[in-house]
Amino acid sequence: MVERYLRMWGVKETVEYIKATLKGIRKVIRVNTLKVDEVELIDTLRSKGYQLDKVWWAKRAYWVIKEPFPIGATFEYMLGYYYIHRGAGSLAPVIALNPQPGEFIIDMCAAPGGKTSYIADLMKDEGVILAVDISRDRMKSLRSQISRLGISCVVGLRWDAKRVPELSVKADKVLLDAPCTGEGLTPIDPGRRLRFNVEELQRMVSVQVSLLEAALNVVKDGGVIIYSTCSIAPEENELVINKVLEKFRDRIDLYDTGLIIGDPGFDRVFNYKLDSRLKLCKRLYPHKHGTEGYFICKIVKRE
Amino acid sequence: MQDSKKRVIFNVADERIVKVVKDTVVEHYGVRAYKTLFDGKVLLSTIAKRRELFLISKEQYEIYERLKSKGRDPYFIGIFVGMVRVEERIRYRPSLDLFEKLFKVSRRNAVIVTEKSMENVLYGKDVLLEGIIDTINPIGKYPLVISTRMEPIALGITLRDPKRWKGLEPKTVVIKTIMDKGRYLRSGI
Repeated sequence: MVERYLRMWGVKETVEYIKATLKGIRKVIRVNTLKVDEVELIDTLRSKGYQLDKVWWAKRAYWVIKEPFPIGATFEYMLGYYYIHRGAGSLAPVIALNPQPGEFIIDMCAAPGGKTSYIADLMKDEGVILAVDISRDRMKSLRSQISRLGISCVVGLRWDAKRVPELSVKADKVLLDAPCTGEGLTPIDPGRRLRFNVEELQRMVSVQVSLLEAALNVVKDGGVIIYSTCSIAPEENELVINKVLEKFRDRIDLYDTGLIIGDPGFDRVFNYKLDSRLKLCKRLYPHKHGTEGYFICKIVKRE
Repeated sequence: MQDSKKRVIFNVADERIVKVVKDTVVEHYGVRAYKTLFDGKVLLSTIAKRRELFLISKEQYEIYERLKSKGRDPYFIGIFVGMVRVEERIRYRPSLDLFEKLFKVSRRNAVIVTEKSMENVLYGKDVLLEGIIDTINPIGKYPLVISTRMEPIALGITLRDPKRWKGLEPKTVVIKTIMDKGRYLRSGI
């Protein structure tokens, strides 16, 4: 792992990154405005001793600086007033998606529901979200979260997301937070450092490319796909996008994500020269942005 | 292979079920609340002895139809509105999700409980008479249990006629909790 980081960043940044992963990152709560007024909730939690700082680049989100008792065990949590994200990075794909009320959005790997519920909140629960996930257990969790948060616009579908094109539906927007090695989650789960292996990485890349091709088939012409992973490995990110750009060069474009945080994507890595538009993607890091490692890319299907 | 084994489990609810749900909702929250939530929507039912009911929008119905045409069913969809048991007669038990939404439209059918009672209810315990501060009448068979800040925390079933609560012992269980928000923590999912 470290050898790859050195090739990606050099010594100084690699050391900073590793230090940050050992330190960990702050979790985040995201207010569910379908149920509660944001100011009112934050005042209530602060009066109970929670120290919360606004995430300056994300709507309705607050870093948890200090918690007198676990923030997942409050009365307000049970009432569905907020969702807990393990890191702020997972907010970024939804912000880039920019969901609007009335849209039809497909969330291709939806469970356990953090991003789905954020989309629903930004859509004001108007429109439809087709939330797809293959895992039965994770689907149970998604249903429970959707119920707790009082969301009604979701259609939960337990299925292999690669097969969604068989439904012949066309979505306004698609979120593909693809399954990945989770290499960016080491600040949250340090054990991942030991579990990372190249075979797993290769397997993931093949799944990611297939899923992205499926996403292209279910988004309408002119529609948006947000591809994201909680991995910092270029193989799962820029190289996947580069491959799809080569294959569908006359059908898709890359756009700026609209995120006001993050480093640009790589257009050159491990001695590979990639499509220069990959700089429009965003990378988030614990040592620079206080988030888990994340990659976000905005693809638009041509009219 | 998995697909060939899969059986269809969702259908549009039949008229008898729709009627029972409507009657229960109107009885507890009135016609206006029913119309606000149900007009233009479709009621789906799973196929089983105990059926789950879901209320969905027209847009969700289009997706549902698309799924059906491919032999798929949703895992869940729209608002979970409760369960029905279809035997000689149809018995409907509403959901907390539905009654919470109805209460937003029509402030009735709720008991306001003390802080202590609230804590007990969130552990799945029942409501004692002494735990009730006030009622928002009329109270039906399935009242909402709410906090002093009007936050729904549970759905219960009245064990005794609310008109006769006054003469009872303070420790008498008057509402049996059937669904509470503490389950989100207890279930661990």
